[in-house]
Amino acid sequence: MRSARRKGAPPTVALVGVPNCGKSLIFNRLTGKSSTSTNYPYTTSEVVEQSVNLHGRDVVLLDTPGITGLEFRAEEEAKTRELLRGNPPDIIVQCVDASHLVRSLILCAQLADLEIPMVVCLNMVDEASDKGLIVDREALSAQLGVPVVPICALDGRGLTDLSKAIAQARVPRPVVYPPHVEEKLRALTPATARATQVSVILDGEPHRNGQAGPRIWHMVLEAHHHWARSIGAKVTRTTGLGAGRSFWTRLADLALHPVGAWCFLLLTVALVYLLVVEVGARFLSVLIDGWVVVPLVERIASLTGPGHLHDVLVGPYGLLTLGLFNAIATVLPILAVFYVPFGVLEDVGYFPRLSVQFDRLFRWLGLNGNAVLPITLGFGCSAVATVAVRRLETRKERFIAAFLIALGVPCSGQIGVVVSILSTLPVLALVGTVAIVLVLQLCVGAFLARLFPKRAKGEFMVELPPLRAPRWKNIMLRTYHRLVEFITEAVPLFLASAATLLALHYLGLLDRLRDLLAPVVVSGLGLPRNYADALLVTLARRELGAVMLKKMSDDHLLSLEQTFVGLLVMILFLPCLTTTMAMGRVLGWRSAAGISIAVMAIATGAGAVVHLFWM
Amino acid sequence: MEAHPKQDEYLEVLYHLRERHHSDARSLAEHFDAREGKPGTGQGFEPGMITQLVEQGLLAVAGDELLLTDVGLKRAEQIIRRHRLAERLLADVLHMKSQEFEAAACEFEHVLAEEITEGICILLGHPRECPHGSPIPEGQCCRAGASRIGSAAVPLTEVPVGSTVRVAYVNALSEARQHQLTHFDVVPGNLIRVHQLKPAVVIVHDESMLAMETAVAQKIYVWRNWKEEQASEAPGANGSRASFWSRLFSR
Repeated sequence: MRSARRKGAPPTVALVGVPNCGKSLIFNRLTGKSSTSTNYPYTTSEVVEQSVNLHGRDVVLLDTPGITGLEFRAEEEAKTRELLRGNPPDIIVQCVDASHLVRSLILCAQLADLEIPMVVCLNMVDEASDKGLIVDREALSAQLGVPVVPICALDGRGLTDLSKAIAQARVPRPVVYPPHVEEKLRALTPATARATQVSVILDGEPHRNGQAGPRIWHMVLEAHHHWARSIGAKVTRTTGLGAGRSFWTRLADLALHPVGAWCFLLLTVALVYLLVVEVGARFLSVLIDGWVVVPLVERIASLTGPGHLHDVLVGPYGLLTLGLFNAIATVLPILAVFYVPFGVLEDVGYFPRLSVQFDRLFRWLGLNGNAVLPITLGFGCSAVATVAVRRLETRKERFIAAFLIALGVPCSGQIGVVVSILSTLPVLALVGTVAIVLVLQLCVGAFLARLFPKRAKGEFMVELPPLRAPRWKNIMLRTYHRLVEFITEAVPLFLASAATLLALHYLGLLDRLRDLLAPVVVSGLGLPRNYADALLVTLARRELGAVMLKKMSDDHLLSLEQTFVGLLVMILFLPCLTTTMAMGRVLGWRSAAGISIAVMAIATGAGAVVHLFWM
Repeated sequence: MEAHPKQDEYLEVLYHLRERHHSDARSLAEHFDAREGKPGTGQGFEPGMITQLVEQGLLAVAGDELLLTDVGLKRAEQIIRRHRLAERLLADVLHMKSQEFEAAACEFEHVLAEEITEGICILLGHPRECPHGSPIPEGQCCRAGASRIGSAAVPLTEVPVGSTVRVAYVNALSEARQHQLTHFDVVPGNLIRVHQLKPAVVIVHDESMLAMETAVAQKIYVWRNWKEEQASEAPGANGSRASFWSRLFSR
């Protein structure tokens, strides 16, 4: 069953474990890379590979999405399952969460059946001792028959030991099944190798095995469960020094209380808004603009003199002004300020609690609490959120969630710039925008829910990781990586968009395009013709469209009404191309196309209605 | 983890010996020898168990005598009670013959949770003797003269907020949910605490919190802990609203 490997190729070492046990953090530490690690499960959605040298040995290290069991057919665990059974690694390093030992041991029992050499890495020992639990590493190692290395991934302690231990990986002792299970296994297949038996059960044709396969697997699972619990009991000691009611457990309770949760949410949103506006837009952005961009632009303008070069570089569609400086002076500082509190909320473990708070509300939209996490991710990046939608169980939920993300969930860049525009308008504009977007989302969601058959319903169940103090180093590192990602991904797109607009302008096509859209833009929405440019550019990156709108607003080219309508349409309008492609992959291209058209219609429709009724 | 079948076995034997006033080490060894069919060899019993029981504070050694401590006695009584009630149930209600019910009771007693034991006791009307005539230790229900079991297993949604209950069984949940519950170790026999029921059901098990919708929680059946309810019906206890705020600001 091992895949044929080139001779001399470095061994593959897979980091496997239950969701949210710290695999990605360990991966980052060992490779120096930065795959995202958060405080909610299933953050890693793909198998990530990286060649690295561990203690003198070249290996290929793999980070995998969390897995709860080899047979469970959950979408988000599929990739790890495929890896383990179809293309097994040479060595498995199982990350075990010391504060939740039993569930990791259940997985360990299943991994043992694969008969691949293993090392167990005991993570989150600090959290376990906070709960008053101490795991006896040596006893565990003796029970499992594999090396057990305690680790604190956050501080990086134990990582050298882990690198050394990988060389000593051993095939673990298989779980001893009770005699009646062994009997049934023998009846099913003559093979005695555990790995083969497992594959017969899991892959066996249902009509061949009859009910035998699933029933035996059920017994096997029971045996695993029993084994895991008894080992857990043998190697764990309670010190009786539990955490008690710290500040964080109280905060966690508040975040779950029916009334308290809303107060907490409003407070958090208000805080983030203030931060982004005061620090990001009014302070940092203005600072960078004044000290860096404006002098630079003047210098370049004086060097080039008026004419084509001037326009190409620093004109209204200038490569430098639109492409580069906007990214750095307008968007980057706002993003930096936004990502910090967002990162704190992620790290602290707040987002899963939102799913409890919004579960009932989401039922009006044909969704439930399970959809809260993907949608919240949309405030970070809508492409990531759309991919996360795959986790939802029914097609109905996936469709509606993806639709709502595309329609009215602004991504971080868009939020930042939109908020900075809103800060220049009266408060009513902010209230109005939020209200209209929310009401539209509710109506659209409710309408879509009716389109699907009622019985297709997912069930809400989610684990709530404990609320804990933010790990500042981790948060700052993630913010840094996100900003770097923005610069490497967005800036080329900004530049490309600027170049495209320039080209269209010089070819005279831009005017034609504006004419084409004029009936909608000018008559319908009451906006100047060149608003069309901003809409087009939104397809590349949402921030860029918002930035162009901001420029028009700052240059006093728009009335209050026009700014408001322009903003509203932009928020509701199509997401960037990356998101649309993600939608295509998750829902199929016809659905993606249908959603795109519907979203465009709703966005322009809403803008037209506001324009019509503006007093 | 509460189940220690080996320890329970030893406690049970020690209790029997105590009843017959033969609480010395030799009698214990003889009993186990006889059980294993190796009389006089001293091989049936493990001295290590004695040490364990002493360490746990269940047993005290005074010279040649093995005396159950108060804690040990209480625990042994619970075990004996379970065993003898099980015998009563199997003999009286299921009409099993002596050889059958003895073996069955031995197996049965280890899986009887406290709540079920009480249910059986109430059902049988608080019997005072087992079929062999040995006394059955009293339980809380006997002292309270309880005559109503009610429905012992209730859906999770009908349990008061803040109570700790034991999972009885899970009723026809989808495979996906079943798998999740097993993963989070919410399985029959385990204790869970109900943190809240609105807007969603949140339970705490072994320090991990799980949230689920009401429809799913309704399919999880737990043993209703009527002792807790009696306590909360006492004057002064308020509804969940007050207890949340007092919990928030409590030590």
